[in-house]
Amino acid sequence: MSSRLQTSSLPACSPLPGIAACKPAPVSVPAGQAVLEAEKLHFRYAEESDAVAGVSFKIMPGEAVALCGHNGSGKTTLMKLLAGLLKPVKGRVRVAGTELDTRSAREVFRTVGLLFQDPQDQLFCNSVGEDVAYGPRNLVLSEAEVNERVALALDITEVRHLEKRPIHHLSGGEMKRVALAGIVAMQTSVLILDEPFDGLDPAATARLVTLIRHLANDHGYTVVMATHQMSLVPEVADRMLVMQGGLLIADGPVRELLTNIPLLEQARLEPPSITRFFYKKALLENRKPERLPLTLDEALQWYRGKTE
Amino acid sequence: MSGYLSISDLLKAEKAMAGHLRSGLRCMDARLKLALVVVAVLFNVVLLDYRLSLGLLLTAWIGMAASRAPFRQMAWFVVAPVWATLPVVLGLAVGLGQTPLIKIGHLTVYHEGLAQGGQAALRVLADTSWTGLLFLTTPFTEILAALRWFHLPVVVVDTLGFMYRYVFLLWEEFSAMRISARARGGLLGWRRQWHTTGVITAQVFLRAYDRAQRIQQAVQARGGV
Amino acid sequence: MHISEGILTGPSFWATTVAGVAVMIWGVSDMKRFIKEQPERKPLLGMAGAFIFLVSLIPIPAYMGTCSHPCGTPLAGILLGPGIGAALAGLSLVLQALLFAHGGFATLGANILSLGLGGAAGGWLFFKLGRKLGLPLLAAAGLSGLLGDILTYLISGSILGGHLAFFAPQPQYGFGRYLAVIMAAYVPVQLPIALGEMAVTGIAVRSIGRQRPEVLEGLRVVSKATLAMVLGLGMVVSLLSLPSETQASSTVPVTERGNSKAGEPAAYTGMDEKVNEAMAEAAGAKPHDPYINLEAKGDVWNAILLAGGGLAGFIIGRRWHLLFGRANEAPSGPTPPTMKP
Repeated sequence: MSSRLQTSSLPACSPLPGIAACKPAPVSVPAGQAVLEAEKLHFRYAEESDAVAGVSFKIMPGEAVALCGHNGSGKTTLMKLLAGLLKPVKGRVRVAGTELDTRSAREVFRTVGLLFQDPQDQLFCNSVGEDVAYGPRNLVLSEAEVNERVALALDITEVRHLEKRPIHHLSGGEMKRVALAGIVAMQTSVLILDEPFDGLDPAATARLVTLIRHLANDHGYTVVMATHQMSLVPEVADRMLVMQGGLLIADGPVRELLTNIPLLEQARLEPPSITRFFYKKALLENRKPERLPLTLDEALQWYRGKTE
Repeated sequence: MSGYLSISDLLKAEKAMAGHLRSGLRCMDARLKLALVVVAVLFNVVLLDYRLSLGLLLTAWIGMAASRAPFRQMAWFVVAPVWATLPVVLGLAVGLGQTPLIKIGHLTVYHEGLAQGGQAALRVLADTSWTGLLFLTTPFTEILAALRWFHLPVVVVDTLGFMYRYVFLLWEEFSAMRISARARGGLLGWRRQWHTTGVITAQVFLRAYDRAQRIQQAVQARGGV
Repeated sequence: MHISEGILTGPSFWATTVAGVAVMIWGVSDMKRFIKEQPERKPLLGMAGAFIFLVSLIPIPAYMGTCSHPCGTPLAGILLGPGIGAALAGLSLVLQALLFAHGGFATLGANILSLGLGGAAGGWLFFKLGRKLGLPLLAAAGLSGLLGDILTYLISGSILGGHLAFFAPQPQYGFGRYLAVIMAAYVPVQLPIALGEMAVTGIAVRSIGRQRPEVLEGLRVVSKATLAMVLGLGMVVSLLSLPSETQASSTVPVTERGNSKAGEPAAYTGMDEKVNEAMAEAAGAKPHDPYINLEAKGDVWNAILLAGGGLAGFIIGRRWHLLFGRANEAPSGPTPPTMKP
């Protein structure tokens, strides 16, 4: 059962323009087969300890997965392994059933879109329009289709007015949205997002959450998202992977893991504030902490239920 | 000796340009403007006619004014070359010619030399004004597209584009580190300034080096090579 | 030291433009080769170019409280090599001309020659020579910054002086005098900047070497030197450039040196020569003087050869471990942590 919330605790935002027209590219994955698979993955940077050690998991089409862990736990490295940008020292990565090797890794961009943590790394063209068109052009589409995809992506991420703007004129939040537009324009069926909410104000965060929910819920995108903002995890994800020191220490439903306070403490993570409040309240009242709410809305529903 | 160069002034000029997209020469095709600048500069330094230089200078200023270029930036393209040009003009005045005009100590200012110096100054102003006309009325992305159209080597245009894209980021990093150094007394005295500047320069280079690796990954992630 | 737009005209404009284009062609072909060999490092060229452009904007104290800007091109040469360094210097000059009216398009060729060839390629050469002599990074890079800058001023001064002496109407002085006057005018202003560049370049390269030695190794700034080739080249150049010495002539007997009468053949010739001539004739070859007549160069040559050999032996001995050590030997000192992407 999906633990993804039907209602959001975030401020409501107006519908995003053009989103209905956005469809993921079809992925030929037989029913029941994972779209992303990691099998005993190991990766090490030169002369250092393992950045990723023995990680295994499968992600099915349409899943929304949150990848959580402390700084240096291996999240970004794992994402780059899944996107074929790094070659594992041991183990395998499969994308849409195809094992990644040197040759197939070059074609992964058709299936997997990676949003970099620092948009300055990703936005290397001179203008917004040029950068968003960069990925579609590499898909060898016609000029008309490239323009159509660019226009759609700019509309969805609400940066149409910035199309002619030089990249270095953009604010941090604008860069983040333009970087996302560049991925959306490629219409890959898998989106890997590295800290997508970093540097965004609350309103921009709410709109981005809405966008990701639409893409995942309504358009079948598979989303893997790394974030430190645990309060946003239940808004977007079904499932959570927890990493610590390169190891995958937990893999399960969001509700189960986000209410497992000892696990989160071990992984140097914090549950959402509201969850923590109710956990501590239960301990103070000498009760077993159970049915802990994950969001403000859940907490209000719980409270309404108690007082009625 | 150079004049005062400011990246923040450059950013302001660009933003001001973006605000007046349809004024004057901004509507003109970048390729045409680039070609005109090259031809103007070429004629100016080959024909050596002060009337041509004056005409080019006035044309450039009228073009910039009609395009509502910021006055500060327009003035910059007049003031900036002064430092390097003035000594040359003075040098020409005392170094060339046969008809003495004034004697200042051991130096003699010649009539022909002074005329040559004046013409050189006019040429400098005309050429830099046309450069200013190009920059203040044309977004850099359009200049790059024009260079591609003129079949400059791809590696040259791509590198120019990259340089322009990232110099602002590097400047921000450099400035931030410099402010931090100043807050900790790192810029007191020329010795400390040199040392601090050297260390910060190294940091900027290393960050640029690492960023280049990440950019390459971003290129590959979107199907580039 | 940029030459301002519009100063160079006529033949000097054309000559410097053509020469500048040639330098750029050389540099761009180096860039293309770099990308072909290591396509994954293409963004590094752009970032390095941005870095070089940035360095030319950095304020360093000049004199009497003023600030000026370093050329940055010796640092470019050190980090990226002479060709790429010169090309990126050229592109940096394009941006400086376009964005800051520093230099210009008509004098782009001249500025490429001074800053690109003199600064970048010259800076690279001085750095390599410094390293060959065993100087540490700080000293070698500092030397490169200082001498690269001075070479830049010399080339700019020579171009200006040449223009005035040979192409300007009614010149009052010759080239040498013009050059002297130009250098006298600019050195008081530019020398503090050159000293600043020396300090900044040396400290920057040393910092990079200390913090991330693998970066310098990856860029081949510090590499196992082909000492023999460089020294050999140096010796050949010395050989060919020496003037003839007449202290010992093969036609004058050693015992009668100074007493021979001009035009008279020697009374005795060396046995080796006679045997060689006889053998050559027997083989059907015409005996002739050696192509490089070492004997005619006399004792001065011998002394230089001895000194060169001694110096080469010293350097080879000092760097023996680099020439014949194992390829994957770790550098001395603790390995600094690398940044994870």
